[in-house]
Amino acid sequence: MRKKIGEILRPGRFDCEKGTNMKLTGLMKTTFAGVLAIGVLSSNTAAQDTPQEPKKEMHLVTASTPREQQIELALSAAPTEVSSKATVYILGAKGYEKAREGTNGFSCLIERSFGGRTQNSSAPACFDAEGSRTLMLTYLRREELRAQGKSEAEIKDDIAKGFQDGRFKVPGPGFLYMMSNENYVYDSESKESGFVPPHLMFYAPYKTAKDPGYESISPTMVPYLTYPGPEGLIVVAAQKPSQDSSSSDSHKH
Amino acid sequence: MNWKMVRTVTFRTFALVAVLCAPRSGRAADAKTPYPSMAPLDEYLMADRNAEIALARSAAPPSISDAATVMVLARHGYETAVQGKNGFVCVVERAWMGPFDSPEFWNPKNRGPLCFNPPAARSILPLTLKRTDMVLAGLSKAQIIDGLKAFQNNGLPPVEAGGMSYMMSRQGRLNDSAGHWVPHLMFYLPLTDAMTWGAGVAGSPVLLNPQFSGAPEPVTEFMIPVSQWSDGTPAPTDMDGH
Repeated sequence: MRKKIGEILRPGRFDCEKGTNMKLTGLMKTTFAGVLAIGVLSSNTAAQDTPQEPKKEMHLVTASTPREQQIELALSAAPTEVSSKATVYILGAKGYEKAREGTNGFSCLIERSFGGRTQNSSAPACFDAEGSRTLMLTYLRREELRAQGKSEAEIKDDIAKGFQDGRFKVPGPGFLYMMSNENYVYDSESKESGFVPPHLMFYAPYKTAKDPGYESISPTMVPYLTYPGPEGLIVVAAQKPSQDSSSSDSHKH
Repeated sequence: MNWKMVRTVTFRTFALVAVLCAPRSGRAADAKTPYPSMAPLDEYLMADRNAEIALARSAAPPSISDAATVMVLARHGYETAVQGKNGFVCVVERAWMGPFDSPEFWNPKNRGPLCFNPPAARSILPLTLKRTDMVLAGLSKAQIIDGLKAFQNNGLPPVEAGGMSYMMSRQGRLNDSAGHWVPHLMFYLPLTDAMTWGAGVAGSPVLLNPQFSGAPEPVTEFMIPVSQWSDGTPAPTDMDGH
């Protein structure tokens, strides 16, 4: 099974569609190595092409991760101007718990994905108001079901049914921030997890890969579509001003 | 691209956005403005149709723009010069697509190449076509604004999720101050408070385009600078020299 280019940027989903265009995996590496020059993907190819930053260690966030640490990490997904006024969810024994109420409509949390019963990613995300009302509810549901011991297959099925029966709604125009330096996600091709650069994800429900044009994209271009369907997203690598206080450079796990 | 370069590009970007946004002070009415009214139409038109097609295509990587529909400006509005097959539409916008109070609203030298993706071609491109039609019909700014308001209530499609455009041409000329500016992508939302998204604040990669923003089009347009031009060459680190 091959993963789509976007999957390396989209934690929270371990199951993926089959028959993915095989050229995209290589493109993924080239894109982030070439455009951002900060690729820290775990593959050998990326490692050879990319100036190396010091290796850092990632500790996957779980329900036992201290509350303040979870909050700090979740807030690192967006600029301080945004995250400082956002609602924050943290992982608890029964799934996500609201740690604080925000005022600007944004919601920040740490997304996770699993391979079977094994967690293989955690990455901070801040949804705008539109996403908080719609797409984010699927994330809350996933963790609720995981806390109940459901399998990833059962969770996938529940989410799909939720879009059919109206429990979940597709988002309108908007986007979510994933600007943290702690985006630690799973790459199913190398079967390893690694850090990926800051990026934005624009809601694009039911759009196709042709909409952002990635099927014929140049090797160094973004954006591209990931997860076509009700949760479709257009991924855009973003240049992050590094002196922003929301940076998680100094984040300690 | 190293982080120093990223920071440089970003801060220059903010500075230039400030330049782009600056004209919101009623100076359009100032008699000293170099472009007080519409110039002769020929100055806005490109005599070489193929050159306009090429300029329009330069907005996006060839892998996208080569298969795009291309529209060129004619005496009565945009017309399709090349029928594409990937749903993208590339055009060269003129100065009148800027804010109505911009002192360069009638600058005949400005050329803004961009390629709309299919959702934006359906929901945003109609604004370009509508404004242009009214300009070329000789309507006043006030009449154009009224016409756009009427269009919102009758005919303008809602902003579509996933709508975006490429503006990555190094051959463009967005205004006298910015020149071709920096390569960027644009995403569209229904009119909203851009500050809620942190557009333009420290630490944000998202910038607000002063175009539209409720004056009168009910669209908020975010820009995200990218590091390369459409031809694959690196974007400049110092924008002062354009």
